Amino acid sequence: MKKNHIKQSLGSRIFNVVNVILLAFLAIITFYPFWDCLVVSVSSLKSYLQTGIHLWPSEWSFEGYSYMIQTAELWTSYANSIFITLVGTLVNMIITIMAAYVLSKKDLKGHRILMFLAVFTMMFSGGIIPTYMVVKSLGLMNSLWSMILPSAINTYNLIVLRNFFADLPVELEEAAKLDGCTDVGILFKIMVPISKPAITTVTLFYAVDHWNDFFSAVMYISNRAKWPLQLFLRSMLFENDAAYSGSGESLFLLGQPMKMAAVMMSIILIMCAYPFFQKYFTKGVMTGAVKG
Amino acid sequence: MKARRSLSLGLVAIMLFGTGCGSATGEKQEDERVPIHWLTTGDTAAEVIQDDDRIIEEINNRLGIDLTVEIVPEGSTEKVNVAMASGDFPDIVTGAYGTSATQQWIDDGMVITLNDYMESNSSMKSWLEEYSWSAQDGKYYGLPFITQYNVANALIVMRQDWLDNLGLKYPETLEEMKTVLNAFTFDDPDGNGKDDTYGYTCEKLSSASTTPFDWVFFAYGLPYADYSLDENDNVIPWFEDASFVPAMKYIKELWDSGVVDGEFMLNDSSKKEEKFYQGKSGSMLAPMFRHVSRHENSLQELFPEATLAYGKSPAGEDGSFGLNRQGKSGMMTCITAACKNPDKAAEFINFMVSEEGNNLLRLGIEGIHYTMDGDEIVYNEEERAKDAFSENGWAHALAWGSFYWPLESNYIPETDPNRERALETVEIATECQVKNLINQKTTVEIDKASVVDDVFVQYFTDMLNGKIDIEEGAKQLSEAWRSQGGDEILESVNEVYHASK
Repeated sequence: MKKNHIKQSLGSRIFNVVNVILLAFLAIITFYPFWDCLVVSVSSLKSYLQTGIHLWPSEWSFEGYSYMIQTAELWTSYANSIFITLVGTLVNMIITIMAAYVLSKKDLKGHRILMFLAVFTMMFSGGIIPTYMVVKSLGLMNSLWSMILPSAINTYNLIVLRNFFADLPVELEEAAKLDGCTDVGILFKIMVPISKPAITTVTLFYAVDHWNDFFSAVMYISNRAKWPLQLFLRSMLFENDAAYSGSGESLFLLGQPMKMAAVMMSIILIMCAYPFFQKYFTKGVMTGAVKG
Repeated sequence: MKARRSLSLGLVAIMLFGTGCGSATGEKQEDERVPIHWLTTGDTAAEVIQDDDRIIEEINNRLGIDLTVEIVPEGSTEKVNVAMASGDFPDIVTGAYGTSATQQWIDDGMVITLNDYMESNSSMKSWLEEYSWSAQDGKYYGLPFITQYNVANALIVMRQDWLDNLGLKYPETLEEMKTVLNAFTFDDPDGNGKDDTYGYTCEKLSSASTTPFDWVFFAYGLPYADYSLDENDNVIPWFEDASFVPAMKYIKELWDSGVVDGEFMLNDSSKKEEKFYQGKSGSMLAPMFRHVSRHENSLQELFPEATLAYGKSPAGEDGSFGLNRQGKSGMMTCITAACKNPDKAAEFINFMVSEEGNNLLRLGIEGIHYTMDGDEIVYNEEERAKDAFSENGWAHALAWGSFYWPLESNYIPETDPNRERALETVEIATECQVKNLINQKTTVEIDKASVVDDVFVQYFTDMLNGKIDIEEGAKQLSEAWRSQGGDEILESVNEVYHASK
């Protein structure tokens, strides 16, 4: 950059400055809520109450975290959430990829009808009561699978993948077929590897949905040993609000820092996983750009 | 290929295992024991009930039943409604009282009448008789549990140290209240030399059925909590009462002089409490009872010398006062039409509302969970922790939520160091409670509630902000409220009112 001989015009320099300021401002207002949450979670109640804007804890305290880490239920619910996210996403992806690939074939008889049936559910879903009845009659009540199977395919994600597959050159497939590859082989050895950006994106959509899923747990899971993390953390915040047990005992004095610690606990894992997926996002955008 | 095959085999195995688990959670059949499945919202904050809970075992033994309690997460009445609507009937169900969903259970015959079971179950009978107005055409379909029906817990709590600094006492009249709030705002009550305080904070106004300024309306003579009566003895909305306009003027005066938290319409309960604990506000409207010590301890985090002041809500010129509106909603426990042995189900409900049941759920089994030392109860915390009892003498997981809350039962463990003060606040708050004119909610009222509430909130805010003159606003509020469903509500309520006379 140092040896850049082309002199920038005044206009473009002003543009740059304004750009940087504006984007920095946007970045700060997006980042601050998260920072506030993090700072409050490691502050004592006293230091939280003292300051209106929380840039740095004036008095450190990890009471919220230590209280939660000691709670055995946190770990079982963490394990449940991880199970739901990993297995759930795997199931989602296997089924969605297979369905999307088949539906992307224009020569498949009745593919329009199949697609219509799928899209129809997106426009007019059955609602909660029929879904509940299905879950009940499949014997999935109080099972983690109730959070995985009823929503194994998300129509929106199916359409995204189907369109991606449909755009892939048909020659690739023909070449593979000439070399003696089976249909299944074509899907998993050719199509899936070259669709990595799209697949990663959809995987992330599914994974985040599973991780954040709260409502279906409320509906189908009463057994506390099978609660996912989100449900457990929320019940904990409620408990905190209800000031239930001993009056004025320490837990309730933790107040906001305790809540923020709970919030941090729930996002930390997804946050750690995110950077590994992010590179595929950029790749996905670029792939499209070059292909035009 | 091999790896893929074993992966898919593994998946199938997991699936089978998973679904297997789902159906395996079931009722173990014991000889001659009647299985009872109770679906309830329960108490979200309670301990988890383990399989070998001795209290459940004791109930089973005493009643000859095999009880399965299903407590839905988050106290979600929606889940209960969905289960019922899907035809997934338990034997006993606890849902929200006075909602269209529970009314549907009654209308569709999903729950049975309890009248036939009253004679043999005396505790249930006296419970129902206390709520005799809940019968529909003389038939009882469930045991209502109305929260804050005979008791209340909210008070205006103030900073005693600020009052001391200013040489004032806890206000007893509206005039004194105004003086105190002004002094809190303008006379530097915390002595820091800055103009950084105000008088009163509260939660946002979200419905017409409770406002953060109820104490003003009652001090100006509003006679009932829910409605009022016109000169022809017809029911009118409470804001058509003669007390409304002068009360609104008083509130507006407080608002205009800046002694009320300018952002109160953004407050939830924790935001409100925070402003009090931070020393920004000199008073707040807040629940007391079990929260007294929490309020005081939180306040002392920043101000170690601070103490709380509380008392009856300020009275108007003619001495009338009030603060808490009597409750109108709560839970309802019913026996479903699918219950195979309603006699046993009724017996169980009877047990839950009997003194015997209360003692078992609050204290536990004598000799195991507690012992008597003369008249004094000695809790065995170690044994209590093995079953679903909460710490420090608090009750079993089944004790609260469906039929009682600690407030309604005046229950605070005898070992609690702050017991006296907590009970004192309840006594004062209950004294400030104002009764309803009509006990039950009519079905029209349930349907239209949210629409007419929005109308009220809108006009109230406009009047407060001066967008509309108060006399004019009150008139427009009545018209808008009546035209958007209020008239139908009044019709149904008048019917109930005149029928009850």
